[in-house]
Amino acid sequence: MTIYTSFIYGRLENHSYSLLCSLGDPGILYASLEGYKIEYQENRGWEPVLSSLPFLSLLIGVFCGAALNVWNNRYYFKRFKANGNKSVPEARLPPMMIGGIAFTGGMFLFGCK
Amino acid sequence: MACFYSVVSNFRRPPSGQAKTCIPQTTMQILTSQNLGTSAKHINYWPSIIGTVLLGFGFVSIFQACLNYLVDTFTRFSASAVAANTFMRSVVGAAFPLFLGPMYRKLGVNWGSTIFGCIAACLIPVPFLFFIWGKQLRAKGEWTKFST
Repeated sequence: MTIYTSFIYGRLENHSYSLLCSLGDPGILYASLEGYKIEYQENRGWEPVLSSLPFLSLLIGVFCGAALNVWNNRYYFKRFKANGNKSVPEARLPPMMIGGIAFTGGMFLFGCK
Repeated sequence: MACFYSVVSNFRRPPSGQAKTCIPQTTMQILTSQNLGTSAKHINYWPSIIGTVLLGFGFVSIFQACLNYLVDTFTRFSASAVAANTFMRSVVGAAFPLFLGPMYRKLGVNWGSTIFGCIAACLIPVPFLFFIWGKQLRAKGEWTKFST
């Protein structure tokens, strides 16, 4: 879940910038961690050790996500050099676009039969 | 998965005239008696596992992109930005599992995941919005205008 939170560090009332915190994504992930246990152990009745194996699939997904970020660095460097060796924060965002769609798809795939 | 099991039952067909009656019986036996130790009706678990792979992939890419964006945006104050993000993430991570057990048990895993999927779907356009209007947002901010 991504919500816009005002950056309130410093206790100033000047909410001039909406900071993007991808809070809900870890939140939903922690949520589904418990859901895995319920799904595989209680609903399907697997043994405890066997029901923990789907977390390995999470690991595979994490590796793929890391590879995507490595690949995004090339795009970021192109924009970096084009901007005269000044940082382009927006070029950091493409993995988030792909990841958001994959995250939603994965959530629906996991839940629906 | 059903055709897989029917193929397996065909291989085990006895070479006699009773073959035709045995096939549906063996398929029903295999379908109902899970070798996983359950009598549940869910046979196909592969979609859930593939969904988990997508979940991990999406989570890591979103998280890393977000943190990189934060650091790039708040150039001198990135430590504070990341600290605020981590704090809120910890709060959410502590709060969510408290109500999830009852939620998943009552609603069922299907509807619980559908709820979260819809929440995640509503938040898909956020990186696109930041891609388009990021520069203007950063120019207006008090601590972020050093990055423009």
